Order: sequence, then structure tokens, then C-alpha cells
Amino acid sequence: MAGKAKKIAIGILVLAVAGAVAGYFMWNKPHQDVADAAGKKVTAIELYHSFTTDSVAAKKNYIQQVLEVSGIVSSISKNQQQQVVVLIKTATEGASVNCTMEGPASNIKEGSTISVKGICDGIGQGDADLGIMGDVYLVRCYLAN
Amino acid sequence: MKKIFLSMAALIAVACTATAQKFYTKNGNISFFSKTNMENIKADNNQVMSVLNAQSGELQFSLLVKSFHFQKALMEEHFNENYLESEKYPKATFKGSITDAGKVNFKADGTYPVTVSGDLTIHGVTNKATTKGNIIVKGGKITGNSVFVVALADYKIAIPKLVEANISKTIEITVNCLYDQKM
Repeated sequence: MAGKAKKIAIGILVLAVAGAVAGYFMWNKPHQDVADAAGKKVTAIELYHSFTTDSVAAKKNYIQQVLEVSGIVSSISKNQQQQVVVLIKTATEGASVNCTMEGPASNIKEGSTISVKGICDGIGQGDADLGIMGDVYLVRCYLAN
Repeated sequence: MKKIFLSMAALIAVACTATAQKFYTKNGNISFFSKTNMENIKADNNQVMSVLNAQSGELQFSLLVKSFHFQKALMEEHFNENYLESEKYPKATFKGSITDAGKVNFKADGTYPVTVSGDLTIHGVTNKATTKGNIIVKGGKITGNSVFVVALADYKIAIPKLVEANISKTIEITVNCLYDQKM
């Protein structure tokens, strides 16, 4: 009888430890690895075109996925948290693929052609009355190649 | 002839001032903070679009809910899937105005306390919101900031019983946007 109780106690203990370990790992689950991920390749022009012409397909193909977006750099700036923001030109005047860098960005030059890997969050809202176009956002970006 | 020139010059001048009065950003910052005895949770969104019309005082913000980033991946997942349901309600917006925009001299450096009022839409629910903030003019650059509190219940955001102690019922929202001039 004592032996059975002991076995049950050990069983419960093992389950509790396993549960705690699983919980700990889930709680501390890391963010998606962007730096080493193979991004889905697309040009900035294609990506923007997709979001503005077929948002359902764009959502399915791109949102929350790691993309490798190529194009010409139109501007480099810093946001209020001192992260580098690189804008890649699209075919629409004033609209960009808006990349917030997590990786090094000191080698990026305006006018150069680059490939940036990052997670696509979707297309932002513009203001048609003021002629401000929404950008497609890429976050946690790294320079590819 | 002279009159035509003068009126043309006047028109151009008006057009220039009109365009010079609009400011925007596509990379503004909005963060939120939940404080309980169990834990503090903070998330940042650096992809905020905002437009400020200095002349009329009109002010709008728009952001993608998915662009809020948390320290822990699991929190981000729960936030998007269970609380804000970002698949269903991808955007949060504010459309309103600075009710006392006349107090702000956008051409003179200074910190101008203002009141902002309008419609705040989160999780598909729109409520009237009024809050205090500051417009800071410095060296030709315009910054807008504000801190205000929203109650999750007002936006039909339900927190499961299991984590009720970990998430505050009221969330502090901080807005900090540095604007570029619309040319």
C-alpha cells in the first residue's frame, strides 16, 4: 500500500515538474528569429502593388511572415527610440516599404539597392485628402546577404 | 497687369502657407503600460501614422495593432489573438482635433499645453475621448505628446479570469510623435 502511494506521489511530482518546465519554456518562448530566417523574396514594388490591389491575397501571402524585400533606398532616418528607419521606394510616389531596423544599418546609403529581411505587419493608413500614402511596414529588420 | 501679378503672388503665398501648415509622421511612437502587483507589461508601436493640420487643429492617428511589440513573444501572441483580436480589428485610430490649436504658435519655439478631443477606435469600438497633451515646437520641428488612460471594458476587451491579476483594468497610453512638414 505504502509502495503504491509512493508511486502515485512520484508520478504527481514528475508531472508537476514537467508542467513547470513546459510552462517556463512557453513563458520564455523567444521571438521569431529574423536574422537567420530564410525570407520570402519580393521586390518593394511588387509588395506594395499587392497590398493596394488585392489586400486579401497580400494578407495571406505576406502578413506576419519574414520577407526579404529588395529595392532602392529613398531615405534613412531615426525614430524617437533611436532605431534606424529605412524607406524603400515603390512605384507609387510618396509610398514606401517602411523598414525599422533591428540589425546594423550603418552601411545603408540613400539611392543604393538593398535587400532587407523583416516581419511584415501590413499596410498603414494614408490620408487621401492630404496626399499622404500609407506605407507597408516591415519590422525587426536585418540587411540580407 | 500689375494687379494680375499681385493677385497671383497672393495666391501663391496662400497656397504656400496652406501646405506649410500640415505635419505628418509614419513612424510615430505609441506605447502602453499595464501595472499590477503581479507584473508590469509594456508594449511599443513605432509605426504610427499621424497627421496634424496646424491651421484647423485637425489631428488623426492610425496604427496597426500587430505593430505593438512586447518583451515576451507569448504576451504578443495573447495580445493579438485573444485580447485585441488583431485579425478581426487590424487597426486602431483616433480622429479628432486640438480644440485650442489657436494657442499654439507653430513658428515659435515653446511647449504648448493643448486639449485633444475626438473619436478613439480600438477593438472595433469607438468612444469619445478627450485628453491633455503638449505640442512642442523646437527649431522648426514639431513634437506632439500625451499620456492618457483607457479602460479595457470601454472597448470590450475581455481579460480571462486566469490572468486577471496580471493585467490592469486600465491601461496607460503614451503618445510621442515627431512630425515632418508636408511639402
